[in-house]
Amino acid sequence: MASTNPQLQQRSGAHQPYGGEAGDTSRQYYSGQGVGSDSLSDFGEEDDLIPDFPTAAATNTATTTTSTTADEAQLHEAQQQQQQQQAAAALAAVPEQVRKYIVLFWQAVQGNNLGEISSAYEGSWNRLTEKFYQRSEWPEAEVIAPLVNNDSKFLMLYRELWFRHVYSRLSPDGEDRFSSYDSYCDFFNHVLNSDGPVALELPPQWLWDIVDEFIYQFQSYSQWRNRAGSKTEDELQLLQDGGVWSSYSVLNVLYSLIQKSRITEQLVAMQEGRDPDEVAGEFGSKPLYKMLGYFSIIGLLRVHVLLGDYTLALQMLDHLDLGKKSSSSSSSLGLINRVTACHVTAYYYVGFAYLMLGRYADAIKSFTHILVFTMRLRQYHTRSYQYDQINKTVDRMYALLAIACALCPTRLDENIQNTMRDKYGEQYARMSRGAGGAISGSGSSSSSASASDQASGTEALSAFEELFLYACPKFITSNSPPYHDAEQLEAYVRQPSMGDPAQHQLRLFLSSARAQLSNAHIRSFLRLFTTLGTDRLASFLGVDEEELTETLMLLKSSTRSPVWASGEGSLLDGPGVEVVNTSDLDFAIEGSMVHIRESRVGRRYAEWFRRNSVRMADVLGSIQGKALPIAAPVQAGEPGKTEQQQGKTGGAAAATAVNGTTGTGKPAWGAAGARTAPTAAAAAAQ
Amino acid sequence: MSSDPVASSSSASGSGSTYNPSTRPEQIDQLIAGVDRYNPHNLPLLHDYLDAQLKGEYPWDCMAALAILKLYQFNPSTFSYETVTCMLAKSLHALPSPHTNLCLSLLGEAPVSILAPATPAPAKEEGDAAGDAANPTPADAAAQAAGQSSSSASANAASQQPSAGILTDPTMVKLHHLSTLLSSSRYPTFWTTLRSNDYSEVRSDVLDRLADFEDGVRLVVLNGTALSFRTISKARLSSYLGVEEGEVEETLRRAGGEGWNVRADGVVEVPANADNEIVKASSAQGGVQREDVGLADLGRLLQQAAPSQPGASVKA
Repeated sequence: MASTNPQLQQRSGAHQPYGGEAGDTSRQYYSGQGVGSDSLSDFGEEDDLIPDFPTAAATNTATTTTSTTADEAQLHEAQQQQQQQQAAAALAAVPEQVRKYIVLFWQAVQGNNLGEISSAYEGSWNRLTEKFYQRSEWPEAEVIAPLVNNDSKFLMLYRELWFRHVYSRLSPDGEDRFSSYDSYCDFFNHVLNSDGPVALELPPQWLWDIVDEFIYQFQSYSQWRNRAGSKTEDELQLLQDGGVWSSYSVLNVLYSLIQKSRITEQLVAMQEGRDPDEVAGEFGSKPLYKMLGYFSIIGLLRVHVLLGDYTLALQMLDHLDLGKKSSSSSSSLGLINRVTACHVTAYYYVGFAYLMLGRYADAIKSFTHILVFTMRLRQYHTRSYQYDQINKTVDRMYALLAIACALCPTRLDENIQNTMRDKYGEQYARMSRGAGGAISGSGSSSSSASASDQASGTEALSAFEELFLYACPKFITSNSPPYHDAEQLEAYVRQPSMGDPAQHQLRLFLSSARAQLSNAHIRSFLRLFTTLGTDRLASFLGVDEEELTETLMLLKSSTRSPVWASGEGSLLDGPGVEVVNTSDLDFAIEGSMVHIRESRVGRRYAEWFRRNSVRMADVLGSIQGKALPIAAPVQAGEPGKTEQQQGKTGGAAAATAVNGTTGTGKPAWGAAGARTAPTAAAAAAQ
Repeated sequence: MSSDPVASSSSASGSGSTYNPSTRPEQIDQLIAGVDRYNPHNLPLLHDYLDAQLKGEYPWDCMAALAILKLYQFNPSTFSYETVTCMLAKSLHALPSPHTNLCLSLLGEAPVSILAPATPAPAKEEGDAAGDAANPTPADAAAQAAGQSSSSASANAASQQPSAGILTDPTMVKLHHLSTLLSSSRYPTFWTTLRSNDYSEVRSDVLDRLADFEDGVRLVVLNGTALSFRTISKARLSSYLGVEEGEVEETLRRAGGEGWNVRADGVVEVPANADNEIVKASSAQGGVQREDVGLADLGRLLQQAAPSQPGASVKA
């Protein structure tokens, strides 16, 4: 109103303080509680000139419009003091334990002390969260800044953890989402655009978590953004900025990390047996960059699957050597195994990509590999926050495994099979029963199929749908509702022009699964015969012979699938991938006769036998090599026998035979059993 | 040419070129391999390459096509309907590889009509959706079902409606349907559907723009047949190829390649391959997989079992 300006000018002119009192009342004004209502009432009509009490720095702008600098400086200084006092108060509100932890953490980060950082990051952070911040946010970065001397590097990392906490325990609002994007930008800018490699070292677990969380927040933002109907004014305002969390920027970060660290070149060098450090370049030789580059590859695998591009996803892993050999590769590049969460995530997405490519045998292999791994690891994994997440992924993988096994029946490892039956036995039964009615062909199945056949077909499809929706990744769209135009937005809310990506992928999957529903039924018939006329088979199944023939062809083509058999080379394509028969049942049609061949796997015992024999011999050897407790001196007469009864080995017996009476009877074990001092025994015997 | 002999689509049997054919020009290869693939300015280059494939100058290149679709996904203003439909049609030649589905899975955000989300609204409400009775769809039974179930509020109402994923654009749905028929080996139905009145638009707008569309499909059919059949009657084969019985020989010559031999008695011999070998039950190859244990594997076991000689050191 009769705005601040005249008032301030007045003040500058005649030093007329607020409330008409003489002296420097500005400090009095800003000393908080000091400003009593009396000074306000003295103000008279211009009481609205007093801005909202300056609790937030933003509102200071109300008072600091164009005015002379002197007063501005005074105001500013007073404001700062106010802020500082508030900050100090907030800091004092932080529990002592937390303060100590932050200081220690900061020192560890400064000193690049990986062990300390690890324990602070994995252990203490979670403990303190459980204790103090289960339902609330950690103290803001600005609040704890004085504890760490305003070290911007540490504060960057702290902010990352701060936002991660908000996402996992609390519910982020629009503002949070945008701020966390900014904080990630800061971090990645710092890492990527500094003059040289940054002098920071972080444990692999943390680096993986950064990349993982980055993508998770991207995913979460996409889904939040697509719910166009429920946005507040503020959020709509924020959403005008299309650049935040856009696909291009996320991909940009990941690709830049890969390029900067030259991780692809390093992996190629490793594959060819050369030294990766030669090609690593300035940045890539630092562990921080190498690991970030490596994890970005897995990150890209994930992002591509989320956007529906399965082939590109698999191509990302071209040089990664996902096969078992990687576990024995050099320590630094066997990274995928070092961080369990990374390992599990990678296999989940690889398996899912295979599933959508129709390569069920490969999917089954991927899933079983990782499920066996996690089963073994269960006893060692006690870190709860990771454990839960890994468990969830494991559950989803069992569901996907059930789907894949229904479409491509394979013998599974017994443990895995049992667990799968436990969890999803009912759905699996429905899916593998398929539908007899599906034999009679495209679309018009309702006419000739019996009711029960049709029902089982629908049941099978609903089981597929249920498990798929449960286990699939949370697909996202790259585009957003039309927030830039209010009218279009309204129209969009009423009738969305962008569908649910998960539904899209589901339906595509179901369309290929639907086609294969007939397989189980036919297969069961084929197992009963070695030769069969198509007309007879058609009459058994109650369908037309031509349709039956087509169904047989379908069965045959379903069992021919590219498999990444060799363990080397690209997962998608290339010399390691060949088309094999994925079923134990095979047939060929000659005219009207079907010749069926079923291959059985003979009982395998050689490997087990060999392994255990060798192991037994090893155990035996180690026992024989051990010294016996000191035996009583040997009496003449029955020397050898007492020793044998005492000990198992002939070694000690031979020794006492030497020391004791010579020429006594040889121990019953004979020289064959003696591992130690056989020459002594031989000499004694002579 | 797309009608290369069996070898070219035996690339589907994994000699390394299903997704990355060796015929791809160097320029395109480098483009797709790096981050340049995300730059929409490269679209014209990729479009030209696709056009060359449609004309038959190059065989179908899946990754290049998917790169185009990805650019459409990230830059919706560049979306080109004709390109997409032609691409889907061409991908039929790649069967049994699931390239049509791969293309569709990147088309989830395409600016075409889609299924309404699972609301209680009847299925007929979508824009130019195929649920409209005036617009006959390929699977008439499904359309009727959509009409009948419009009273039910369940999501099944939407799922009865023919769609390619969630897309309900008629041409795309029809192309998807053709792809499903081919991959389920419903060859006679495929030809009748293709030639039906329903599909006249699809034929004129899309399929005619591809060189040798039908012959490319016939190659797919022949490969599929070669998997299962050792010999097949001419009549059956002609129904699979969509030609009259009299034209079978000529079609085989034109589209099929070597190994197909039409005998005088109306039986066609299929080229022998690993998949259609007939193993008679009486033969010794019972098909029991036995274990293979080499002597080297047993080496350690045998060494340990050997009795150790006096004076001889025992090797571990």
